Amino acid sequence: MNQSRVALAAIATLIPLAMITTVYTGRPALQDREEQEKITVVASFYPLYEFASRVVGDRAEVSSLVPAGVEPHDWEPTAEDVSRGRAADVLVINGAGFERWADDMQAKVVANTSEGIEFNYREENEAGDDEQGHEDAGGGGVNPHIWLDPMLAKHQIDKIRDVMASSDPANTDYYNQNADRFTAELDSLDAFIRSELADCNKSDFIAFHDAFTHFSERYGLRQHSIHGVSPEGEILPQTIQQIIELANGFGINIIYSEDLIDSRLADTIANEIPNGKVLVLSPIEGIGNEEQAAGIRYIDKMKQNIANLKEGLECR
Amino acid sequence: MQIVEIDRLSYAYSGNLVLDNISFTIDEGDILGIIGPNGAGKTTLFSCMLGLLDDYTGTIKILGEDIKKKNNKVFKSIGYIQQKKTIEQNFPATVEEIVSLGITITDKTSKEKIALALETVGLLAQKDRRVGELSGGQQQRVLIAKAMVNNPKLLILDEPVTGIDLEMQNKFYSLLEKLNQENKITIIWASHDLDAVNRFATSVACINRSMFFHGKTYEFFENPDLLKAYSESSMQAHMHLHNHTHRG
Amino acid sequence: MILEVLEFGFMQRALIAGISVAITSSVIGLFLVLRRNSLFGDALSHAAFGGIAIGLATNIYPLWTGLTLSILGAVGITKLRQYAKIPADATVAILLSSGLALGILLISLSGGFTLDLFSFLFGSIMLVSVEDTLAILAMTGIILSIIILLYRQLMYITFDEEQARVSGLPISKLNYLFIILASVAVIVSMRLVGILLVSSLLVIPNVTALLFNKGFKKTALISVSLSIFSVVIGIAISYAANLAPAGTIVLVSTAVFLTVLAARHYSKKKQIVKKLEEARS
Repeated sequence: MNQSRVALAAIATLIPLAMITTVYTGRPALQDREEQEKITVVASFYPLYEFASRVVGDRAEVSSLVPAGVEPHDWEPTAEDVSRGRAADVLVINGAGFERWADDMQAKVVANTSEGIEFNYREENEAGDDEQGHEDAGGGGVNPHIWLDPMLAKHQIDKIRDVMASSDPANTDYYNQNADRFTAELDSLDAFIRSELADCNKSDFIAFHDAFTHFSERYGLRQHSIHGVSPEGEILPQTIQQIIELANGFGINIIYSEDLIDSRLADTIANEIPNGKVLVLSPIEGIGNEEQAAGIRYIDKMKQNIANLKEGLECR
Repeated sequence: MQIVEIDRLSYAYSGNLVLDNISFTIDEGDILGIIGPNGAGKTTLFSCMLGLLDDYTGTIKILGEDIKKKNNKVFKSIGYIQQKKTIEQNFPATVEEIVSLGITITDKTSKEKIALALETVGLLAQKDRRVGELSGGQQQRVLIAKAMVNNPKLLILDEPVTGIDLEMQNKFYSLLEKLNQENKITIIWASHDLDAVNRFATSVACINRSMFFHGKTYEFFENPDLLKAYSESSMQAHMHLHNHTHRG
Repeated sequence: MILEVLEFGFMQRALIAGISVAITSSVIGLFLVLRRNSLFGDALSHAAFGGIAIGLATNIYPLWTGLTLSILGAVGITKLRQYAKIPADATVAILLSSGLALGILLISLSGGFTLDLFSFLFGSIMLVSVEDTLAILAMTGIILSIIILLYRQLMYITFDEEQARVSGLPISKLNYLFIILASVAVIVSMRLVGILLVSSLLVIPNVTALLFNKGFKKTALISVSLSIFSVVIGIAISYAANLAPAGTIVLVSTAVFLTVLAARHYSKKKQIVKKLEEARS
């Protein structure tokens, strides 16, 4: 009898102990971080993670709130995410209404990378359920997808550099160098895009959601989209019909889908148009772990996009 | 030929002996009236015979076959009518559809069989009506038609006339006699209407946990000592049951 | 305007798939409703939700994991009912909430899925592919032929399970078969109208058909017709008014139910008045 009681008591103490140890070993990052002297930077989602990483190099620890490969539009932070955001020295966000949770984060320093960009709000996007899109945008009709325009991405880099320099003045020169290097890469990306899209039959294309507004403006294209600003929500029958008619009207046979989204909607539409075909036009809102491991970064993604866009726009 | 042979059947339910060492046989063509007070184990006996309960001791043979072998042929030759159970008023089935449930293999003759069964119970005119709309007595006759549509050799009826008016009861008993004589169906029928059992049964089994009497109907009813003993034991059973529920 | 949209393949597929799903779900649903098991479909679809989450988390085709989990869950609660004698509605609640909880847990663990979860919750009848449509047609064919083949046995079990057992029907085999059919039907309809609305397709047309007070076959036929009507009219309205299709379909079937209910109430009243008048004169 006594033995079994001892055994029970042992189990009773072991279980909570085991739970405590798993909790602690499960979060080694928290402990480590306290010991580190490096500045911690938390970026909201993928492109900002890459931009911030490029700027800070090895002088700060960068992590992303939205996990790799997760569509960030409908992402909501968990309690742990919030405490991570608060603990960080710098929180890098896209702004322009993309991170509706940013204010609640109460981060120490916020680098709002869209700050200072002058948006000229346009109402040209005929297609898609625009109303829904605008409601979703929240930021007074501003389209938040600035990172897809390399020139605006340069602005974002500048912003990150400035905030880093003021948070960590000792490394200002280092940050400047890194930012300049990345800015140069973005300049050559810009030149690449201009030359690739120099000789095209079409200027209209149908994106999955309203992500390429700034990009189109930059390169003289016209974006139409199936969805509004956010790529989610049940599709309405008339919307499908409108897109089909639009595609037929412009003689478009390529419908763009996205990498983080079920392609069934694009497939359905492509099925209805002559020689219809679905290609990916990534809004680079996230890069999956596998692709990241394969070394695919923002600029590679942009180049893939351009290759697919060339086919749709019939460029030579 | 003996259609049912039961040998030393006992059944206990949560520590209570419900059936105690019951043995009897039924000859083909018999109408066996099973009498006994409420809670005497009549329904349990039927459940054992129908294969609904199989954790009993002893053996039950029907048509010469031990029912523990679960031979479907045996069960298909049994028609069973439960203790009066109301048919759900809204159940969407016509009289014809309910009777058709009794047919094991449907073929071209099914319609005729159903019509015949309905004619026997006098409900052919109602075949397209919903069962829920019929009176209790009519519903019971529908269930009989269902039980006999497959030409069973044995019909087991568990207090089939509870809640049915007297005129209907008499019609019902005449129907049983007809089935027994014309269709050669052996009938086992539980009742506590001694008068009806006296009039229609050919033999009687009196059960109160254990077998109290088994023999020809006249042997029971012409023996005042037996009748007296039966009514006393019934009373006791009531008392016993009463005490039991109080304790339990 | 409505006729011209029929030229679009996606509309044709939505109609074909929608009608198939209407047929299977109303046929399966009749047995569920009559066995007082109306919420079983809900339980199955929520279990499927947990299964879909497993599929998304482990990169297995989510409909298979969904189907597996809903069958396992359904068999599990059937066993629970038999051995532990737990009331049917309680077992439904257990399966429903644990399926949902599993799904939520997995989603929170993975930090959200890349795939559009929305389409599982609310369905995407406009997006059925040609392959989907063929698969749905095949499943409908299989489910319907099994039900037609076993229709009397299933009806018997529904009418009185004990009697059915006595008459030698293999009750538990039939019950398991039915559960599997129901799971398949739920998974198929879920793709079209979503997890949250599946049980409406199973239940509403049948409850409406029962109001007609007909026999079994006729009730089934009425239910199937009402179900097809709701799907077709629902799709038409959702197109004409640019409304969410799944929600529109369900509300149309609710409207049909209310109309039939009102008509029945009215005709009953009329009968009573008539009887009174006859009695007076």
